[in-house]
Amino acid sequence: MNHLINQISDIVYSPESIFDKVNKFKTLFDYFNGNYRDFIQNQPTFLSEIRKKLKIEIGFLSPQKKEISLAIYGILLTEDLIEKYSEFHYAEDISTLLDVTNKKNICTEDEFVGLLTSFVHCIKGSTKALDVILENLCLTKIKEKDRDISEMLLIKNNFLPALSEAFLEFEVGEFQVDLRFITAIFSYLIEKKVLTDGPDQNLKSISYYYNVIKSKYPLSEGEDLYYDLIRTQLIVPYYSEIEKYILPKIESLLLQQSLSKIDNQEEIGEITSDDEKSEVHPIIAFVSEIVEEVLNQNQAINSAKKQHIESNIAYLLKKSSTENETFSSPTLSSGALIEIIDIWFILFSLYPQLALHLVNLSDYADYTENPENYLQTNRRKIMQQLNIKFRRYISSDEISIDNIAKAFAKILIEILSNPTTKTIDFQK
Amino acid sequence: MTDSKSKYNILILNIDASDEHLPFRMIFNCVEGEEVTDLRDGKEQDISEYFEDEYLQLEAVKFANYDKNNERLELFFYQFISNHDSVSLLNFFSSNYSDFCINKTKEDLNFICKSVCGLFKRLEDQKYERIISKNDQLEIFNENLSKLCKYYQWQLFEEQNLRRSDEIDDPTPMISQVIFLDCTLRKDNRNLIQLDFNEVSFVYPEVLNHPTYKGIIIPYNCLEQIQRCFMSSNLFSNVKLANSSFFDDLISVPDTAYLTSPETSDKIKIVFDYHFYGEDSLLISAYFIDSRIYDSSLLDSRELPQIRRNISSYLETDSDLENVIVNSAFRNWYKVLRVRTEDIEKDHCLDRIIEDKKVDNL
Repeated sequence: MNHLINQISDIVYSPESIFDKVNKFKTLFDYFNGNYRDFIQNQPTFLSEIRKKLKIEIGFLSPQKKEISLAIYGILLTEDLIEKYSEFHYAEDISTLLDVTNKKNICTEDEFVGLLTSFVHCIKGSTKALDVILENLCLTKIKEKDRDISEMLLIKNNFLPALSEAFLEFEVGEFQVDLRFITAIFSYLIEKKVLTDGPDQNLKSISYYYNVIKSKYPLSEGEDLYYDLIRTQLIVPYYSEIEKYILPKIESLLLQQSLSKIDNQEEIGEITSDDEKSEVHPIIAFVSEIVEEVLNQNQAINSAKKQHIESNIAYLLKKSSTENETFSSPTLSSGALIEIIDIWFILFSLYPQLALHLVNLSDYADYTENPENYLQTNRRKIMQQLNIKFRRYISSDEISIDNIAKAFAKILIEILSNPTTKTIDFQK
Repeated sequence: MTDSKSKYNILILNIDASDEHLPFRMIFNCVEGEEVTDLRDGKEQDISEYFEDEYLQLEAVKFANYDKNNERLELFFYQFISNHDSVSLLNFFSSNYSDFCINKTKEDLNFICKSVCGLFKRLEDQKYERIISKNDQLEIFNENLSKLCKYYQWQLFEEQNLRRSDEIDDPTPMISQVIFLDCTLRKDNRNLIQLDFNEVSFVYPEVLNHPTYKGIIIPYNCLEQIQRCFMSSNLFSNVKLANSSFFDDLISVPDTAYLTSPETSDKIKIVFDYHFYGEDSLLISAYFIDSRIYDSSLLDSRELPQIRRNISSYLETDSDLENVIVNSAFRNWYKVLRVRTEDIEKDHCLDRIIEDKKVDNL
């Protein structure tokens, strides 16, 4: 799958837009603000129990804030917002959180809820980011063997944007946070994911990791510190562990790659014999791989995968556009769309379940009985459906390669994430 | 042709700090992966001269190369300048490709610059607290620098990710003026080819006489900006020292230069053309594309390639500048032709030069 990625430098972690962040912050803030009062009213037993447990740990908080923080912990538990997060860690982390944002002495209740919102967002976002980063590192390592280079790519293209994103989560709530705390969140997450997968007693609180970093690293602010912080606090201590952790994944990726190469060669060989569209084969090969992964290996379609699909289809379409006249005209006509729809039909003949989504409910039986026959006789119907989808996803009036690629990817993702697609396995 | 002898990638780092042992200077040859001291040519390379002008900073220059027969070579030099806080950095590399993306390369260098700055701050703090010694500091610094340089080197020459991308320019920057320079070539005592500017001609639109722009476009400064785009003789001699036979008789001249104003983030691009007359004289045309100046009477920079082609073809046949300009897209612009460079003074504005010239002619 990765032979389609142009260059290793393109494997980057791309953060969410600031607008999304602001919106998400508002939503969660309102949610916490509205629900903690309900929680206090409705769950008195839970609260009194946990209050007893944490009597000393949160003793420094004022009574109202104690209630707020405990209620929000309750919400975190019931909604499962942060996995495996013990109440003792939570209490320690709140204390450190107030320290590192300089809010220990003066902090209104609203600010306190805002701070917790930022904190929760930060952990959630960073957990996702770490997943993407580990995946990216797998891809990078397959292509680039030099440790220094992959280390630097890991820092510059992955951890650096992820850490600045985490920092932004606090800025959105108008808090200034110690950069070492952000780094500590990542140490915590790496320990949780890479070193102690599963329930483990060794996992410490974020506060603990913060104090470790603080004892070793003297500075706390300035964007120029990212490189040094990431290198000394995340890469040096954890790189070999991370490498060990992703090794099986890299091996399975390499195996997949070599298997799919053989598969594709066979499939492509068949197509060339009855169809002369040799210039679109890379797309079919690529989509086949994705379909295989999702349908037969049950891989989920996450945001990284979506991105991967979109960028690769755009790249492949552009590449074929130089060879193919239909695409090379500066203003793409609907002729190009027909070309693309042909590609879809080849895909349907390879994976009949993909078209299931486009077939009328009343025709299901016909289709499942003999998909090939149905596709031939009802080509127009399916084409119409596809056309409608393309028109819907091509948002602007002008049809360009980029637009088509995006629409193509969106349709593919829509079909693959539709549960009906997985219901029938035509190969059996 | 990727002859390793002609492959250079040199980073010069300058760190200003209050410490007695500093400023800290370092020349790093990325190709060798080692700190290179023998490039220093007796005295240390100082790059602070590039940051002296507070209004306009030279960001990047692409140099074209001509051999002694005045044939243009398929070899380019790139020079980038970046600074962050107390750290300034100059990067010089050679390549056979002319399509390195200025913005992307700048981004990588800024990353190096920032990283070095953060690292240095941390090390200084730890040295002050006596957690590490000065030797430790240097060792850690060297280790990190070699990693950063190795990465940059890989980006430039192996991954080549910094090439072939679209430059992001300002929406519609305008051609703001054209300067023609009459020069002679000479060899200095280090056997380096130097250019002497003899006469300068300004061609500019009426709008530059407007009071708003009078303070911005000052002939003396424009000339200085052009001069600054040429390779500093110090740098050139350093590069030449590393491989003297290769650089013998090589005329390295700016091809495109990018300047920015740190205050307003305006961008100025200067595009150069060269016309050689005989062995030792040449005419340089410098086209200024400036985002600071907006006026409907100006020419869009997208027309520049066409205009340059026209002027070049005229210059081939006709060496009289006035004729050439009259036949070009600049025919309606003001012309101040062939002023001796030493006659231009710091406080002269463009129309003042005209007046002076009139007096001279009388």
